Amino acid sequence: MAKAKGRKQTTLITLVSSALTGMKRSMLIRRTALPVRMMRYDPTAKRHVLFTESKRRRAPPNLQFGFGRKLEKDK
Amino acid sequence: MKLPSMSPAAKAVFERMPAQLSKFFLRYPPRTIQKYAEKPVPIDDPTRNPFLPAFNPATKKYREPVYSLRQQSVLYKLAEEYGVRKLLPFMTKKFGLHKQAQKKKMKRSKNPKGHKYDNTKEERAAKRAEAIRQMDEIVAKVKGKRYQRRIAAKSKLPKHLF
Repeated sequence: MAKAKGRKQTTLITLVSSALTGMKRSMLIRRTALPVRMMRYDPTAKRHVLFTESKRRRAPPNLQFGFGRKLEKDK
Repeated sequence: MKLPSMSPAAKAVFERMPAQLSKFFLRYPPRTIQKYAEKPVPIDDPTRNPFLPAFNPATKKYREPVYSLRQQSVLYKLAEEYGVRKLLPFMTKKFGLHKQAQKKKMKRSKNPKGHKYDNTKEERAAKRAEAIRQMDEIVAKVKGKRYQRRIAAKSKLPKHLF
C-alpha cells in the first residue's frame, strides 16, 4: 500500500504544570490549535494548577476575534 | 612463658589485651623500652623495625617487613582500641584523618561536588513553594475577569450561614 504524502492534521503535545512539580500531561491536538493551556489537578501540589505547553510549536494562524469589539489593528 | 616485669597498671592492661596484641609486645617490646629504627636498617641491627624493610649488608638485598601492611593495620587498630597505640614501633602507615591530611592532592583537585539533584534540591523546593503560593493569582488571570468578579463576590459572603 503506497503511503499517502502529506502531514497529519494532529500533533502530540505535552503540558507541564506551572507549579514546577514536574507533573506532565500529554494530548493529541490539531496542528492549527492555539497554544493550549488548561486548569487541571496536580497531585503533587494537591490542587488545580495551570498546565501549559512545554515546547513551542510552529505558530498557528494568527486568528484574532473581536466578538463585537474592535480589534487593535482596526482601531 | 615468663613475662617481663611490669607495673600493676601495665600488667592489668596487658592481661586485658587480645592474644594477637600481647604476643606482639612480647616479641617486640614497647617503644618506651626498645628503640626502633625509622628507616630500613641491616637485618642484624638490634633496632630493626618489624614494620619496615631490612637489607642484607652483604648482598644488599632487601627483605619484606615482618608484618605486612594489612597486619600492621590490624595491630594499629587493636592498639588504638586498648590505648597502647603509642607503644607500637614507628610506622610509615597512616590512618584516618591524619592520612587524609597527608595525602598529596592532584593538580586542580577539588572537594566532592555533590550530586546535582542534592545541590539544587532546596532551590527547586523554594521555587515550587513560590509557584504554588502564586497559583491563585495565575488561575484568576487565566480564567478571566468574570471568574475574578465571582471570587470577589464569594469572599464578601458570610463564612458561616448558621
